[in-house]
Amino acid sequence: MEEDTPTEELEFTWGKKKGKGGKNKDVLFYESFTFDGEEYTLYDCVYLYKKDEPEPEIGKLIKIWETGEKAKKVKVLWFFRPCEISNFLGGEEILENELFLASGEGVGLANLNPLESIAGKCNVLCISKHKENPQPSDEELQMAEFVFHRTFDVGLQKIADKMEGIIAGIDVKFMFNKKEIQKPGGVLKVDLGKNEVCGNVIASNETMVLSKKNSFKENITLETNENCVDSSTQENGDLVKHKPSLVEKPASGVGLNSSDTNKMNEKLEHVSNPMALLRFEVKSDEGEVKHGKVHARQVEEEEKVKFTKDNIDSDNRPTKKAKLDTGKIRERIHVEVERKKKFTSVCDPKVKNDASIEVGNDKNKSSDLKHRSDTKVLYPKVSDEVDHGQSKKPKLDTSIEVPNDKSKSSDPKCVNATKVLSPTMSALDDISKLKSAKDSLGTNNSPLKKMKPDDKATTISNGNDGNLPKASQRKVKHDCRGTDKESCKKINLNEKAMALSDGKLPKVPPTQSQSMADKVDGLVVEVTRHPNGDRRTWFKGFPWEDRIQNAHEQGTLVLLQNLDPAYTSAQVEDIVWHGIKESCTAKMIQRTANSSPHYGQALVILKTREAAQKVVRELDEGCLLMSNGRPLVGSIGTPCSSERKPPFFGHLTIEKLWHQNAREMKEAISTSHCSQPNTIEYNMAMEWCLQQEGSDLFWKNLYKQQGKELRQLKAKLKLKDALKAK
Amino acid sequence: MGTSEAEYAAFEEKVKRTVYLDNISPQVTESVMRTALSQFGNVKSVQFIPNYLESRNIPHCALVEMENPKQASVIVKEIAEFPFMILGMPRPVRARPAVANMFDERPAMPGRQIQCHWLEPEDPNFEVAKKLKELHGRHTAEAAFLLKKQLEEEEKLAKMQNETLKANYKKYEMVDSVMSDGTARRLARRYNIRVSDD
Repeated sequence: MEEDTPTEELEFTWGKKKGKGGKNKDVLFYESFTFDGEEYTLYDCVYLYKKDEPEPEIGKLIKIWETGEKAKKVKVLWFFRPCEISNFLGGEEILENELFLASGEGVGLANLNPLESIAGKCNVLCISKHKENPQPSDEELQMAEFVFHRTFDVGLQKIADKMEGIIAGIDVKFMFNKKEIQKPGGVLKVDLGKNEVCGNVIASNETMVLSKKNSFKENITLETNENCVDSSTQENGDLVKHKPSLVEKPASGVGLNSSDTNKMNEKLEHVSNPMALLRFEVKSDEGEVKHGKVHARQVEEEEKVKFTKDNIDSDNRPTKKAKLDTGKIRERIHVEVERKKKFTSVCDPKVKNDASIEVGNDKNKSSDLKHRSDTKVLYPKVSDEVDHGQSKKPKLDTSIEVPNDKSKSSDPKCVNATKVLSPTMSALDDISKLKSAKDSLGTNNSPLKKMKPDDKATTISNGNDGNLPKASQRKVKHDCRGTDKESCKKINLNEKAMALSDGKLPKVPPTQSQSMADKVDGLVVEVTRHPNGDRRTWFKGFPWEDRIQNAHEQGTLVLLQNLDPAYTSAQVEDIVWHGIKESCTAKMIQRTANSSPHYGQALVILKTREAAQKVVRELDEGCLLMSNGRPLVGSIGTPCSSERKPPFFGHLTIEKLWHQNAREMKEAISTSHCSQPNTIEYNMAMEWCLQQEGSDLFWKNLYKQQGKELRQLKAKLKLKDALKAK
Repeated sequence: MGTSEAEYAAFEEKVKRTVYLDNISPQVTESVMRTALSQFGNVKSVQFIPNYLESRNIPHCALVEMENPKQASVIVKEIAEFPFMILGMPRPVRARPAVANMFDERPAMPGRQIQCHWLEPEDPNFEVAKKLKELHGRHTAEAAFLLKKQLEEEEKLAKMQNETLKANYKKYEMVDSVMSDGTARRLARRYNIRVSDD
């Protein structure tokens, strides 16, 4: 029947009949209809606009009929948005686009509405784990505007997690996603990836795709293949009909038009690689922005503006970056990078390193940065890994020469001899930990050490002919350190450390030897418990507040960042030990509501100021890559200064009353209460709640975006499988 | 890596029983928290999360361990429904279920291995790693900026509310004084308007 309703002139046709009314034979029930170019079927979800309300209601059509007087009516079972039932949600976790289906008995369950009040179709996916519910695929999830899996009982005012029984007189299984049925001339149900209709043509032709269309989905991106169209002409007929319907969708369709076309366009791209979930993400982001609350959108845009501003700022003023304390550090990096470039050419084992030495010396003289004493280099670290080969030896010899020269010429605090070594060493796929990192040695006594290196040089080179004889090394260290008055205690500590680590060594190598084989990576060190680790439990130590302040004053505080947030303090200490050969105490910063879920931070107190600087420097120049592809970032820690009475915004007092009650206040014990709705403080509290929710939202968006950027960048990192496994 | 499964399981159980609260005034002490939350159940311990890095102005956060997970979830629910204020108004505290990373001395997840290695400059990953570091720097800057913005907005809101409160109080005082010193009554007599307190 073709009918033109007088008021709106919107097209309407009835679809499939369902039956006749029981009592009133004039009433006809239907299963589907076409309205304003859109086809609706029973149990579809639709938008309905209420008068004066900015946002539409979403409901499910559970009955469609025409009365005796030829009036068209639908019975709509409502969905609740989370904000509408926030009082009953408590602390439940809600998905971003989750709705709740009404159930039970009472007001708000369902309503009868004239059919013309339908504004458009809505794509609501059921993600309930009920066995009768066809589980949606990932693509469908991305395309869905809303999801639901829980119901809200309007009578009991409670949320039910499972969908069971009867809802509004209808068995719950009708509420689930439609199963796939091929209906001629009706709804096309073809899976996006399954190519049921077009066979394998879709796989090859990427521009068009038959998307899954069941009555739940509104995004009818039915661009079909030419071939596909040929193969089934009646589908073609339907598709043709639907295509224009997409275009003509009424403007009142909740502003989805633009998003639909966007999605269509994107779909065209996406389809070319259905596996490219990354792009789907992009799309769904857009979709979310549009479908989400206006507030959220504004916030997000606002926030994006902030970002761009911030980015611009940070580009213009690189020193603004919080992590790198000053621009000076940048210069330092440049210096080191240059130097390293020179050294990379020295990777060839046969090459004499004299050239490099000189270069190093020049650099040392020129830069004014504090550097470690080169004597450190002497002590090829007893690393945890198996020593690899004879090719190492020439390196060692040359490396030893380097410090000699350097220590004579440059000022005591000299550098990156460690840095010199590492590129060359690792290039050889050596035990890269030839940075000795016995930084705990007071570096002030370098003059004393000048002589020592020469002596020890030979012993070491001899010693390294076979496996690194730990004994000799230890002896070397010990002797050298013996002259160092300041750090004798530390020596013992380290010596013990060596002993302990020696003991541990035999176990570790076998697993790592495979990874050693790869020339590209440096040494992959498995971070086991470092020798002093257990000492943490021996004594409690001072409270951290004080320790951190002290450390900051002494310059031994380092802030490590870009850690996995799940690491513990002990693990951080281990990492520092294995990566940089420094013993330290660490404290992982505890996560709060606004902390980034992607990055963890830790404050690390090292033994000396030089140790701290060394750590920072090495982390800056090189890249210490941890598992799952995170380069460690270090900087000098700057804890905030403590104010005596920090101002807390939000707690207001009326001065006069306060003075009057001052005496009483002193005696009052804790005051805490829930505010009553009829007070002014309640209103203010609501404003605060709003503020809190708003900031929650923009934190969430920020981290989501950062997560995305992080993932994109990480994807470029080609890691070996050994490392990839987190 | 040192911790047993049982230890970690015990820790996880503790996490479930704990509530994370923030937007707490710096003046709130442990005993205040305890008393405040004891109306919801048996409070086993209160731990404030120390703030070492951010500016000192941000409100405090605390981890409150309850006796069982039910009590913890009740707190979260109640505070979500009604604004709960501790030691001052009108800024309400916010409660969430706690997460493992919020705890201080926590056992490491068993069965996890960390590895690390130094990259050499020729390694193509080196560049990527450098970029990752930069990205990280940018992200932290962004987060810091956002935090600053948030604090500014909170300050603004507090100031606004203060103004409103003052204005309201002034009005109230005025009305009160007019009533109490008889001016109202006199005026009423003058204009033949009834003013009575019944």
